[in-house]
Parts: sequence; C-alpha cells; structure tokens
Amino acid sequence: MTWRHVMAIAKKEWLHIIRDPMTIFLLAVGPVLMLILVSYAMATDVKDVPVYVLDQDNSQHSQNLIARLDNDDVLSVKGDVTSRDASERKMERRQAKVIVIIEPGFADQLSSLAGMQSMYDSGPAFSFIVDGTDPISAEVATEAAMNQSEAYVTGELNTLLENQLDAGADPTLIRLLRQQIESPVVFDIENRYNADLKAIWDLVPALIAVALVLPGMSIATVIARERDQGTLEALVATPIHKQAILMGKSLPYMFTSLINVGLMYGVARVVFGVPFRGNLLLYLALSGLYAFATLAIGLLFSILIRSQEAAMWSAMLFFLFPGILLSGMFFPIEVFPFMVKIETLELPAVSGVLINRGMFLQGVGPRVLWWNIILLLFIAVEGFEIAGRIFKKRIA
Amino acid sequence: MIQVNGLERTFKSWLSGRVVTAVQNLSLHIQPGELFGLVGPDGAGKTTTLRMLAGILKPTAGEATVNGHDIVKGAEAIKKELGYMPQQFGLYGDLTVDENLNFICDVFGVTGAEREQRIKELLDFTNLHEFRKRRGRQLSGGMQKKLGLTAALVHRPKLLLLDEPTTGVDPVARREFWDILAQLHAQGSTVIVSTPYMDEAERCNRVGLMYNGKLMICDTPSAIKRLLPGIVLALRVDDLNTSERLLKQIEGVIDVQPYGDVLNVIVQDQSVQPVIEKQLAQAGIQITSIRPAPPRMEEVFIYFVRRYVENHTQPEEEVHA
Ligand SMILES: Nc1ncnc2c1ncn2[C@@H]1O[C@H](COP(=O)(O)OP(=O)(O)OP(=O)(O)O)[C@@H](O)[C@H]1O
Ligand SMILES: [Mg+2]
Repeated sequence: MTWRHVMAIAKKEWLHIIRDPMTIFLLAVGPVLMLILVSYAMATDVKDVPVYVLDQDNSQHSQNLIARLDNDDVLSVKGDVTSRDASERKMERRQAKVIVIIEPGFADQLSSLAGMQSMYDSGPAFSFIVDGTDPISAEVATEAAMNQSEAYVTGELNTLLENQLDAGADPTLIRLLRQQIESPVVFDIENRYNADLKAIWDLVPALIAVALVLPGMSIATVIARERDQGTLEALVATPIHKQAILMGKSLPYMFTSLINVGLMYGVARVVFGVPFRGNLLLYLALSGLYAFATLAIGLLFSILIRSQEAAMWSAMLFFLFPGILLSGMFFPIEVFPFMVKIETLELPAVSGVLINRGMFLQGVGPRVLWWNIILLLFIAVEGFEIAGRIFKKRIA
Repeated sequence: MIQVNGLERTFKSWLSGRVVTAVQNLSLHIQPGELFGLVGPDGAGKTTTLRMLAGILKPTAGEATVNGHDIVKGAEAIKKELGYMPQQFGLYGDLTVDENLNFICDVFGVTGAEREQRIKELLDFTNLHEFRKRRGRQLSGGMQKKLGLTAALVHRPKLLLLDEPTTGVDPVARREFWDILAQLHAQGSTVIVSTPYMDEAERCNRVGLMYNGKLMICDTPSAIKRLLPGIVLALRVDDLNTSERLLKQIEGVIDVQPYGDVLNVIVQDQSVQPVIEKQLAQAGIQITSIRPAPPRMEEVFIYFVRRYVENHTQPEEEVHA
C-alpha cells in the first residue's frame, strides 16, 4: 500500500462528495444540525406541565403559593388532591407530571422562621413527586416548582422581617435572620420511573456521539456505489492495493467527522452551556478514534452488502436503532439484560457516549475510560483489517 | 505475451441453481505486438474472457498467464502493465474528463510535466480536447468510449484489453477508433479487442471467433476466409423466401444466408451457378443479378455457427421425431 494510492483515492472520493450538494451538506453540517435540532426539540417548549397539589396546610400562604405556581409558564396547576393515594393515582394515569405536597403547618413555619424564637429551625419543607419518564420536561418543571416555592418563601420572609424592623426590632438580629433565609426551604424530591433525572447537560454530549454515526452511514454506500455504477470493474483492474482503496475512501469522511466534532463541541459549549472538564487534546484524539471506528464498521457494510440501497439501510438499522437505543442516551446501560450488554460491546456509539459524557461532565481521562479506548481501538483496527480481508479486487 | 490453456468459467445462480458456462475449454496464444480481435455475438463469453485475462475474475478451471504472470496468483502484477477498458463506461460520471484522467495519472504515478504532455497527446489522439471540463456523464456514448480508451492508455501499458470499444458508437467514430487501434498496433502495443461486428474483425491481424463460450476458429482473417468450403454467389431475386427454400434443396449448395435484399449462396464451385439459374427460372422466380462475391468474415462465421448448432441440436431433434 503506498501513500500515493491512498491520496489518489482520497482526492477522487472528495470530489464525489463535493460534487453532490446534498452529500456535502449532510456530511459537513448534518451531525451538528442533528445535535441542535434534537437538543432544542427536547429542551425547549416545556410548557404547562400538569401539576396537582396536595395542600395539607390550607392556609392563605399555601393558597398564594399555589397561585404563584400556576402563574409560571412552565407549570399549570390542574387541581387539588386530598390524599397521597389520590396523588399516586393521578400520576399513574399520567394526569399529573408533578405533585407538590405542602406539609401541614407551612404558614406557621413561615411566621415562626421570621421570629427570633426558632432561629435555628429548618425552614418549611416541600415534597415533590416527579414523573421522570420524560426527563427534560420533568427537569424543567421541577426546577420551576423549586424556584417558585423558594421565591415565595423568601419573599414572604423578607416582608415579615421588614415589618418587624418597622416595629422597632433590633437591626443586628434582623441582619442575622436575613442571612439565615439565604436558602430557607427544604426540598424532598422523589423521581418516579427514572431515578436519576437526566438533564440537557447529560444529553448533549451523548448526542454528539450519536450524531457522529452519520458519516458512518454515509460511507456504507461507497463501495456499493462503484459496483452499481460499473466503475468498480475499472478500479479493481488497476494496481492500487486494496487497503489503499479502503483507506483512501475513509479519509474524506474522517475529515468531515473531525470538522463536525469541532462544530459540535462549540455548539455544546456556547449554545447549551455544557461545561467541559476534560483534556481537550485527549478529547479530540478520542473523538477521532471513535469516528474511525464508526467508519470502519460503515465500510464493512459497504463491502458485505452489494447494492447501494441495501447497504445504506443495513447501516442505518445497525447504527440508528441499536446505536441510539443502546447508547445509554435514554436508558442507562445497567438496565439491559446481560446479552444485550454483550452486544453493546461492538457498538462504537456506546463507548462514544461514555467518552463524551465522561470528558464533558466528569473531566475523566484514560484512567477511567481505558476500557472504551481499547474497545474503540479494537473495533477500528479489526474493522479495517476484516474489511481489507473480505474486499476482493475482483468482480463477481 | 498471453498463454491460455483450457480456461473455463461457470456461473451458478444461487436462486435457481442453474449453471451457465460462460467460457469453455479456451486455449489461445497471443504474441507480443498482435492486434487480436475477439469476435462473437452477445453472450458469447468475450467479456468473461477479457475479465479473466485482466485478473479480475477467477477461472473455474484451466489456467492462463499474461506477461508471464498467472492470472490468479499474479493478478496484481498483471494489472501494473495493463490497460483495461470495460464494456460499460468505467470512469466517473460526476467527475470531469480532466479529473478522471488526473485520477488515473495519480494511480499510475504519472506526474508533473510528463502528465501534462501525456494527457495532451492522448486528447489530441482521441479529439477530446474541447470536452476537458465536461463531466463524464454528460459526454455522448462515443465520447465516453474514447475517454475510456484514453484512460487505459495514460500509463503506456504493455497490454491493452478493450471490451467492445466501438459498441454504440457511430460509423464515423468507429472508423476513427479503429484508426487509433491500428496506430497503436503500428507502435508495437499488444491489443486485444472484443467486438460483435464481423467487419471490424477484418482489421485485426488475428481473430478468434467465439460462440457459446467456445473459441470456434482462431486465425488471420484471410486464413479464416479460406476455411469456407466453396465460393459465395451474391444473388438478387424478386422472391427471397421461396428462393431460399428452393436453393437449399439444390445439390452443391452448402449454405444460404440472407443479407438485406441479397442472398449469399455458398456453393461448392462455379458449376452450381447454371443449376441455380435453371431451377429458379422453372419456379418462375426473376433473377435480377447473380455474381461471385469475395467471402467475408460474416459468411464464414455464420456458416460455422450453423454447422455447430446443427451438430449440437441433432440428437434432440431425433428425439422429437
Ligand atoms: N456475473 C455473471 N453471473 C452470471 N452469469 C454471467 C455473469 N457474467 C456473464 N454471465 C453469463 O455468461 C455468458 C457470457 O457472458 P459475457 O458477458 O462474457 O458475453 P459477451 O460475449 O461479453 O456478450 P456481450 O456482447 O453481450 O457483452 C452469458 O450467458 C452471461 O449471461
Ligand atoms: Mg461483453
């Protein structure tokens, strides 16, 4: 295999890509568009989430709080429930996404907190029961309910303190009390059906990995296309080494993958404000490795399946469905039965998701990710090796 | 240059399990510098033969060497010195003429000034200069064939394998094409060209006639024409069908081949002519003209194919009878 042959094929393949406006568009910005679209579709437009309130206090304060919750754009208070059992039923029937439980004595706590007698008491407690099946809206709704309750309590406390100050209370004491109301509320949040709520920060890095399967799907047609168009016959009659053909065809796809890694990194940081805590150089290297492994598998499809459409569809079935479902994006991998877990070993997306999440959010490095790095290296090297072995410079 | 011994290729359909023998027991020797024509009708096995010689199709039996390299074990070595032009347009439709040629040059390591020079020379040769910026798929069929030939020539291969380079090309371009091949032949290239057109076979220095996967005859055009056991009479009459039937019953008539409004009658010798004239006159058929004609490849080929078909279908006909 000579470099000259690799470059000859890469150049030609690049021309194919840029000749077709749709292909270049999809390859250059497809993944980043997918990231933006999916993230926005999941993250925004959380509105009028149905809320039921179990008001065990029944005071002026609790009524005010409920009105305040209903006023929030995100929340919509649908009614009261009278018992915990009733609230459970509402949630089971999916009529309620969030149940707000106001404990008895809420109003008393509020006024006592503002008095000096219970300076070190904890503030009023709220319990939320949240339906976590749709993590994004659950997250946003919980956030809104927390903010509103806290704001209400803080606001009320402030008013009470002002009143006491006007009534001639000791200013030093009031200052002390003010400090205490920094976070006066105790929340007890119980997530149903999805114990650890996944936030947008969790979603975006996973999506980056999943979006990078697009070049892998695209490359699945490259050999089949030459076969369909009859150009393979002339190509295999030249002395180009077959590894050079495969490598040359992968390079332009590798290039667009890397461009997309950069773009998606930028979008994640700037548009979604996701923190990045890992080593950036290592991240780029691992993203390249991940893209390479994905391309290796796409190329395998391209060689194994003889028609363009069939190759495209098989790659899609392989990458998109299991790739997304098993990637750990929606369901944690731990919940899969053992066999499925084994199957995820061959899916580069699983490792891609773990690497992206780990490096963005946890800032971990090879010490934690070594297993996935080895797995990706194995897939990339073996994928190309097997592709080279089954690709024959022959027709029929 | 090329040694072929008992080469065979079968295709098995995995759906019906039917086995097609595309090439059967083919033996052939081609010397360096030959312009060899592989002639035969559709499905004769020309493409299959050329593919095996190009090292891109494995034979199912037999063996062959090209430039001393075995077509299976030495396939990659053969490809280094080979210019192969497939029957179908083998270049890229979405790339321009220039881009296609540059790609081939990249592959064969033709670079720099040599590349410029070579491409210019070949485009002069094939008259493609004004189409350099045109995409492959926007070229006419004939221009595509020329581009295919140009691409096969960039690296000055020792051996050229051209699969039906003139099919779908207009008569003028066909003539130009053969002029190019003659020039290459004169320069000493070894060229093997397949064609379904018998008249083109006349321009080769040696011709192999293929039919049904078999090489039926292989010789120089003049020697092949001498194989005809008799002479050809070109006959014009007013009733072609009746005449054909009558003629076949006449003693000394070997074969009757309609060719447009002419009947080419192959007869043992000149003495049969008066018999024909008499018999047709008796049947009331008007003879417009009758005269001896030089035999062409066409007549020889049809004669041999007919004889082959008769020999191979006789047993079956007996069963029916
Ligand atoms: N890949 C294949 N699979 C199955 N059968 C094939 C294959 N290639 C050729 N054949 C069969 O082998 C026979 C010879 O085909 P081939 O293409 O060699 O003929 P040809 O002389 O080139 O004909 P044409 O002038 O139509 O190109 C045909 O019957 C064809 O159907
Ligand atoms: Mg053919």
